Amino acid sequence: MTWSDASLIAPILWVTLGGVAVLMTDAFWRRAGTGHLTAVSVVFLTIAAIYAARSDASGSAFAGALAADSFSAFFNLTFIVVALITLALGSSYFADEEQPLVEFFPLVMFATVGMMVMAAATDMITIFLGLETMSISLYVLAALQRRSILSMEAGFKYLILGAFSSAFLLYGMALLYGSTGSTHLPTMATAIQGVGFDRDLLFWMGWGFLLVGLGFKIAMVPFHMWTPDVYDGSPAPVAGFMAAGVKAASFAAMLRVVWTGLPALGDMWIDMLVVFAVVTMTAGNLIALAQSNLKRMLAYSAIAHAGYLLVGIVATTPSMTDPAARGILFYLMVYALMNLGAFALITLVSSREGEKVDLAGFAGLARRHPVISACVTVFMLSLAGIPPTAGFWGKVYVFEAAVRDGHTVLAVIALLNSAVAMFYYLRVVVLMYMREPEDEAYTGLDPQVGAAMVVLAVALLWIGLFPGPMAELARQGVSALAGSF
Amino acid sequence: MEAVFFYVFGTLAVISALLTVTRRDAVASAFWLIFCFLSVAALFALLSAHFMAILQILLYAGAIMVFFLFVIMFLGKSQDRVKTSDWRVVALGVLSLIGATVVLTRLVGSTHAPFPAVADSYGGIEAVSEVLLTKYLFAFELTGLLLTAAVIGAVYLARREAPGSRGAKAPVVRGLTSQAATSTASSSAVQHEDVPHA
Repeated sequence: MTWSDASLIAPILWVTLGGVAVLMTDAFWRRAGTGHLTAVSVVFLTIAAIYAARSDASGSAFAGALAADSFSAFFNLTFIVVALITLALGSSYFADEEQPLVEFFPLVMFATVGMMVMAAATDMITIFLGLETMSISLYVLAALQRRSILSMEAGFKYLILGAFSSAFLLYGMALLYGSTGSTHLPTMATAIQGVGFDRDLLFWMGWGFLLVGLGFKIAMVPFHMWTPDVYDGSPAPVAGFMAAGVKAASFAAMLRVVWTGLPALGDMWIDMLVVFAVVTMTAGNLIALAQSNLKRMLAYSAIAHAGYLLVGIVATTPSMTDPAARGILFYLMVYALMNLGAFALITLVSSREGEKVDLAGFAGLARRHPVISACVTVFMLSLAGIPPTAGFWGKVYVFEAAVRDGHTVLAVIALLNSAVAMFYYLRVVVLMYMREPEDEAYTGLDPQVGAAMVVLAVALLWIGLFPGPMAELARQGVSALAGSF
Repeated sequence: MEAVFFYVFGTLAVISALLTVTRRDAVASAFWLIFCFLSVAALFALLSAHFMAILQILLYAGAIMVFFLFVIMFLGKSQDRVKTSDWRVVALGVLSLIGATVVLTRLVGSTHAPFPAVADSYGGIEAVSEVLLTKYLFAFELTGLLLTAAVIGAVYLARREAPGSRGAKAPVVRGLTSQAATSTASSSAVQHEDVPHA
């Protein structure tokens, strides 16, 4: 390791240091509450964000294990924002317990490191290790409420199924290594070119297993079964972290593999991916209609959004056009923000009254908390893709690219799905504004979570009104990979 | 000569693996699994992957199997033995075996990659550690972080809540009705008491 290697991955190093620092703070400076731990984590995440935003150096670090470029910088910023909001939601949520769950802080930091590594990795070994670092931290985070039987179930289920999918991923990587002779993505790309891979069973089995492993993490149907149970059982801030972070990290790794490692194969697997995209969004939306529990509804909505994002990948792969690729990055960032907002609502409602996340619990919320209700309305409109919110532009970019790429039928199916999805998102809004509050309805207010929700809602509206700067950021992020197109 | 050893150890590995899954006694299964690991270690040694062979014996046949046996004996032999499998399960197993054999035989040798021949020292400790600390340095360091996260999680989940320590108050079970909550909570509290003794 040289100094330049370390400076290239400075944001990752600072978050790692932050995780260790917060562990040490808890060990040597134990006090009531979680304020001091939050402060330490936020300081290190801010330093990492400054390094990520200012990084103009790009290049390959650690003998090709990972790369620092505008693509990884974009995702570094995304993950740091996600981690900061998760800490804002979690620090008060977990401080309420009789025993503050201090493990929350280092595990969120380590999971963030894993996500950042996944987005920067240019070697399959690094991708796998990043994914495992993220997943192992999340298994524990899901089971963080040790006395809640639902939380333990979520952690255990996620662990068993996640280990199974990791085995698929690793086996796929081994077969790809056997087929191409390298785990380094650019080297794999050169090995693929020139040789007829279309009838190579070893290669296709490897690629199929790799897709299963990543498909599990992005909750692609038919590998989505774990999502509702795990989201439902996990503590609300952790579920939001999962929905926002894991999806973005897994898509980032997928984009790297597809664009850097296998650029020559576009047309061959595109039909398969079209089927997955259609099934994923349709199943997710239809099942979400029937949910009466907000957490499960958001879990199925997460599945549906994975389908929309797959539409984006379908649109980019063969011709590698710029707008669709830009759209995916934009969508992932916006998706992270609006999902964190929706889970912030659950954090708010569940932290005082047990895990009361039944849809009826929000009835009449607007009477008591007009500002919070307005924020929730923005999140739901954004998830449904209605202007003037940021979610609208995410869908416009992705679907427009699909049409331009000749996948008109796919875009129409995606639009129909969005129409179906509007029903269950708007149902929450209707409940808040047009019903009388029930006795069990939520009454208190946590200022920290409320502030986070206001910030998220303003950000989503701002991006929705002025999508230019964010789209430009996404375009720069994609341009790093454009060279390999 | 090498081929002879390969077939001997390969056959032993397959037979012991079969015995592992067919024995009804868990302890016998575990011992056959040790035998299987040892045969695979011999195969590694034949491939001049000495370091892997040593690790296979030390970690798998040694540490992990001791753990396995410890848990089996700790839990005690179950009185009702595993029932003979349904014929459908057996049929499914045979079918997947045939399928896997067909696919694997087609996979063998279908690589396009130019794998160069390697020297005898390829899998030695020196060669492995050199690659580990140069080319795969990042992966090596990241594994350390991964294990740190795993240790934090394991310590947290298995920690015993001593009476009188913070957090040892009445358990709260979220999301259940109050009556179910108290009954489950008390049973889970008992469970937590038991875990550290294991």
